[in-house]
Amino acid sequence: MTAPSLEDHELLSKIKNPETRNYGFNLLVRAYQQRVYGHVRKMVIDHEDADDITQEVFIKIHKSIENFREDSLLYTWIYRIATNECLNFLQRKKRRFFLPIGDVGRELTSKLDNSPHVSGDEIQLKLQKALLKLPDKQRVVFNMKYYDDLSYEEIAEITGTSVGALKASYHHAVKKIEDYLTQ
Amino acid sequence: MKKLEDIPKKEIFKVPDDYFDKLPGVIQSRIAADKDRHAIPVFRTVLQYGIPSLAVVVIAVILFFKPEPADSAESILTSIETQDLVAYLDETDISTDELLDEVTLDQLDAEQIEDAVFDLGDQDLEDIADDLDL
Repeated sequence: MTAPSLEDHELLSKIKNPETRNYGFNLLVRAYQQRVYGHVRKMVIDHEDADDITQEVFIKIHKSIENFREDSLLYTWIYRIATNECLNFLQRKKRRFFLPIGDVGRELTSKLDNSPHVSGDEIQLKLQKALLKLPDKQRVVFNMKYYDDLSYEEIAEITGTSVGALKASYHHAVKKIEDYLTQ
Repeated sequence: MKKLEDIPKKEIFKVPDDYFDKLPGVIQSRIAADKDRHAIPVFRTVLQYGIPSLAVVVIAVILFFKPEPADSAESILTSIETQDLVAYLDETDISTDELLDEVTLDQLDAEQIEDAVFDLGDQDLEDIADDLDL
């Protein structure tokens, strides 16, 4: 476990002080909103969904930050909440419409093609479509490693999975993506 | 085979203008609204359980301290023996008409009297005739 950074420690001090709680929480949102949104958006693709989930993530953080133990990094704790919210959202989506995994992937691919808030050249879009072929848990690990440059140890802390399992998952994901890109 | 490392990392997801400027305010508003929403159930709980409990206590206090009601005329009459009543009516100066004026008979009373007369046997009728010196 790593101790929180000085910046996070100051944020937490402000949040835990009743007089500066709102100000401190506002600083936390400003500090982490882009990382949380980016992480969520890559999982759910649609901006409106990502917006809703990001708000929920910060509301949950607000509710439970009093219980946050400072023996872990604040951002890994935040990532864990965001990751769980994404996975729960996708799980609910499948349950609500009785959709198999492939159909949710197709729905997200369709959003990728039609959303006004998606840009990028053909190869970038193809990479995203390849990612949507992966199981959700493997995709979230890939995103954290590839896009967010988190270490396996950090991802292990966020997901509660062993480093060895994460390495295997990532390399397997890369293999599947490269196979898809070659087609 | 196309390698992943050949593809430049690029953020393809865009957000509406000013999205991150507005988001902290939106979140703060939702937290404030959430607090208000939690405040209402507390008030509702007070209404839901407090008022009925208070009503039960008030009713119990009223019943506990309620004075014994004064005996009504009917309850006094039922406690007097029929023979005493008949003896009183024989000796009093009140006429039958005056007694009837005091009594208000409704439909139910009339039906009960009619049933009682219908059920009278011959012996009962003779006893009444004797009493009335008919």
